[in-house]
Amino acid sequence: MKIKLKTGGLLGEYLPPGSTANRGELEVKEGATPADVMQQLGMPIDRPYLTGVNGELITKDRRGSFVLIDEDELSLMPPLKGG
Amino acid sequence: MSWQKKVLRVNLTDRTSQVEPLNMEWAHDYIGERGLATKYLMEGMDPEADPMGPDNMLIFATGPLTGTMASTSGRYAVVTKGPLTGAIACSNSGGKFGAELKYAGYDLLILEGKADAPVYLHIVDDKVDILSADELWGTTVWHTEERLKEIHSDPQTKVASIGVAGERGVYYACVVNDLHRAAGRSGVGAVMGSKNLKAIAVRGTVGVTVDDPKTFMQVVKETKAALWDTDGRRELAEQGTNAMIDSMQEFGGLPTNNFQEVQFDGTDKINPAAMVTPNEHGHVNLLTNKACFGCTIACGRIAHIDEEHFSIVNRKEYWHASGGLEYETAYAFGPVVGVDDIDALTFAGYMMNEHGMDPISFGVTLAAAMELYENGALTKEQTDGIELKFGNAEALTVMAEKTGKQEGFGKELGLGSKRLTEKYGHPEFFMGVKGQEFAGYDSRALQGMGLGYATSNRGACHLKHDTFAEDMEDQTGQGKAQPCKDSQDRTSVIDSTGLCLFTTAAWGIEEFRVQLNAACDYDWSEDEITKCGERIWNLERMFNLKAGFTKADDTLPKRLLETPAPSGTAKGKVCQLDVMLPEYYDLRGWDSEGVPTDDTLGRLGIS
Repeated sequence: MKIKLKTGGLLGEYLPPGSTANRGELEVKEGATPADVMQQLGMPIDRPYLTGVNGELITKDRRGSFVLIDEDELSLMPPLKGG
Repeated sequence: MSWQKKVLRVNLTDRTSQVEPLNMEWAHDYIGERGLATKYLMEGMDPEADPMGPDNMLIFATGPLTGTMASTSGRYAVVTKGPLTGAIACSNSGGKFGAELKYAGYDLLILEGKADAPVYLHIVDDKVDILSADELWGTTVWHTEERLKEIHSDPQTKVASIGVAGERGVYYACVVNDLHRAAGRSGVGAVMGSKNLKAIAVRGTVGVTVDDPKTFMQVVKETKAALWDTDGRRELAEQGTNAMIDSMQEFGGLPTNNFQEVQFDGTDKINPAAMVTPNEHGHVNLLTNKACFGCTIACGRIAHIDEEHFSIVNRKEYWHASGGLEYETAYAFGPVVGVDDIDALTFAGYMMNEHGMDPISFGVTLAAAMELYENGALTKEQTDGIELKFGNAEALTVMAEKTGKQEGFGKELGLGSKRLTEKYGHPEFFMGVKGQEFAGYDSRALQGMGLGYATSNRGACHLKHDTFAEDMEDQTGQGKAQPCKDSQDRTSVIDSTGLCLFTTAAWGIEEFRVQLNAACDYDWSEDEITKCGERIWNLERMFNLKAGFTKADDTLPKRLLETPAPSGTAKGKVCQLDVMLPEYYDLRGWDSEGVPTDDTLGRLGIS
């Protein structure tokens, strides 16, 4: 199945080739979780990234159990502060 | 060493100055910069004094690590009673001015009284002159800084000055140094203006001395390496703080249209990607990043505006590079006023720097005015013929300039949003705490931020605590009081060292402590340094209580407490301040009215 990816900041560096402006798509296995996708992209999975699926917050303890479905949009944003 | 152990006290009424020894007992208890200046303020003035009167003190304070080889060592603080809030004000800036003041031989510069005519202060090491500012009064920050370098034939002179906004008492006027760095919040520039003090020009050749050079060089090498290796450091350098805008948009914590919404459709036009994307004329907004003195992060942005943009199309004086968008300016000129024109936002930023105003307070005040306008409480006749509607880029650029120059409706905007909304009959449109406007985080999505806003001693502020990690993992009020309290104490220490808060991308309190201990002829234990932070926070609290603040001021607007977030990950939620505040008071050792108990004050050595 294919999911949409949305990233912020430098996390765009992890997106697959062909992605633009922090947006991309990725083929993932059926039943994949956000943690699986992060691993597939080569991202460290223990960082406090802001993680969301279709606008729903996925806390760190759910990253390995929340099951994605076809066409889901997974957002991964950097843990920034200040400004 | 590391402290210069000298205070320069200037009485503007008498036009006299004197150097006095730094109170070292206070230095050990309050470290420097924010903490030490707070102690001098508390001991030196009546907290009930009129912030715009001669009895208010204005303190420019360096920290023990300011001007050293530690990373980000350019910081200084301006501490006074703020006119925007009536509370203690502590505004922190980078650039080069702070280090230069330290190199001139001073830990603190204390300004008292009021000059009977415009003056500026010229400091070259131990030579201190109070000189006429007649030719500078009424001119911009940018002109003042360049002119003072010409007058004194020294391009290395560092200048902190105010614009017309500060001269004429805009409640959120700031002090600008090095053209586009600012002690921005709470109206510290208006206090400077109330004293008829246009500028401080300083040149220092004394340098700084550290206590244990060999150890200091080693710990600085290690802490710099640790900072360099972090994703957070690289993010700040390459994307700037504005990378936050995509995160807040996704999270649903991005205040939009004066906090009526929490997500903004135009973020893709003003985010870091937009800053490096050519527009239809091939113009790219961002030129480069820039570091303050001694900084190895370089989060600052240098940008320029498309010469064909309506804001500057026939105004060559603005066809140059200057400070670009950071997260708070992007928020305050963007989502909160509904504008997505990146050049308009950049121009508004120029106006803040040129005329000396806090962009957060200006933007949120304009947002409140837009809500007043859209609700019929303001008319086009009152707003100089400008359609003051959300999304109107021209309204943003015109009103930024009018406010800076104090012309037309800009005089009303100079009141700040609390006074403005009260004047026009809708105090519920004020989005802030203790009179100070919110930064770019909606506390229905970030609950700990709500508690930090409500309890910040300088009014609504995002920089005096750090609960971002907790807020992004849980959107209830549970468990937020402890990290809020702990991070407030930790931040009080960091703000007192002379280093930048952004180093916390890599450093914990221990990294600050080891650098302090190597640099200073005093060693803090882990327990002592923690207690210093708690002491500083409580002393600020005591200043505010003596100034007349009560528990009733530790609150948030009804919009955040009663109106659910309309979208985003926190859709349907309100800020649970009622859950967090009692727990916070308890953790602080304060009574149910928010007053530190005698036991707490005694434990911290506050009399």
